[in-house]
Amino acid sequence: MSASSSLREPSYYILAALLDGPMHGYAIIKHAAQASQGRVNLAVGTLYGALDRLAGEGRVSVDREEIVEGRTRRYYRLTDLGRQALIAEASRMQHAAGVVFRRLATPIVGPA
Amino acid sequence: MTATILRRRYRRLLGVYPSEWRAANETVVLDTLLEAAGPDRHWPSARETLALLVGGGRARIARLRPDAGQRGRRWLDGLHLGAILLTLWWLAVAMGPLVSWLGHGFRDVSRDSPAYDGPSAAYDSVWVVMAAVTAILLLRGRVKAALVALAVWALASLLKPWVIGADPPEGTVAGSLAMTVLEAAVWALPLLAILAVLAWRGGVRSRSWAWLLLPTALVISYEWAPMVWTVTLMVLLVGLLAALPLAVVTGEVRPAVVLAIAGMHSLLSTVLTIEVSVTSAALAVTALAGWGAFRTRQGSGITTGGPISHEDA
Repeated sequence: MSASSSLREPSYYILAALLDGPMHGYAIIKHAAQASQGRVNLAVGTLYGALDRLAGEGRVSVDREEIVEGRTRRYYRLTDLGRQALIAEASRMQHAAGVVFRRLATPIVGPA
Repeated sequence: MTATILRRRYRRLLGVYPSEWRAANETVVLDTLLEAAGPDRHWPSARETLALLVGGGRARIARLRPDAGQRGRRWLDGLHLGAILLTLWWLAVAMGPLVSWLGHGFRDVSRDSPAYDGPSAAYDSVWVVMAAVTAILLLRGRVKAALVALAVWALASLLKPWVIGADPPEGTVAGSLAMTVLEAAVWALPLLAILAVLAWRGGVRSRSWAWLLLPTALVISYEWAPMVWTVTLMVLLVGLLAALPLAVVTGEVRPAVVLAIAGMHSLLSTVLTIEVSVTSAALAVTALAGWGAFRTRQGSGITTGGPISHEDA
């Protein structure tokens, strides 16, 4: 898999969550679930596996670690590369959706 | 209280991850798991458990998988080890009868017919010296010098009909020479191909002297334990079969390349005819080279910065 490979849905929503600024693991999970209307419900192990991969691809980086109420939270930040990948994927899906919606908006002409 | 119990249970589950991963991530992941679990949970959820098991397995596989820049390096490493194994193999092949002959107090060794005598021993001595020189240069990472040694070794091997005489004795020297050239093609061409690739890509590092234990073991087994010889071949074959799926799963090409070169070549040259084995071995080495080059191009390239030949210095 090359560095420019397309994003799978969980990665897409993880990166999308980080558009709002650096975020810690649990906040990313909640954000992704909300933004995807409950479809992307990340398990913690899956989240960190994805974050490891995204960090390896240079799409996210660790912003800082903080201890809040006795819990260590690691904040991740979207990198420029991650932002580009996210925008590219969003454009691709927008185009894909457009193919369907434009077709639906135009009545079929010709033999039924 | 429940948080402590749950934390302990999750920590145990995190044992499936490699230790480096745990050292870097355990606290953060545990705290996230507890936060996601809520206050009333005593046991890890099935969903989180499954995700951790899968994640741990993936992290372990990822540790085996070289990153894109490393991949080409591993492939060259594999070729280098394969070349060393091949050279040591041919060293052992000549050294076995020679040592055996010396050990028997200059008597004929029945295993070799026609009789193994002074000329045969002289011929094998040259072979042993040249193979040893090539092997040592390869172990030191001096590929170009090894290439020269290999060329001298291959040319010297062509003197066989004049040193030992025609084989069979009633045959002609010209006939024997043709046979010798074919033999040289079998053992020397694949090695030449591998060394040429290594010399071309550069950056081969030196290896442990412990590799020299291998021909020593083979020579000992030749004389005293023929079973070891057979078992070595079987292990190479089984290893080859096991290494290919492993290479596909982990992306780790080195064991597959090494075993393919060593196992296949030694097996082919003992089992099949000269023509078939030389063709197959040459084809396989070419295919390996092509595969490696293809994979290297797919990744971000073989060099992670600057020409790698600097490592030679």
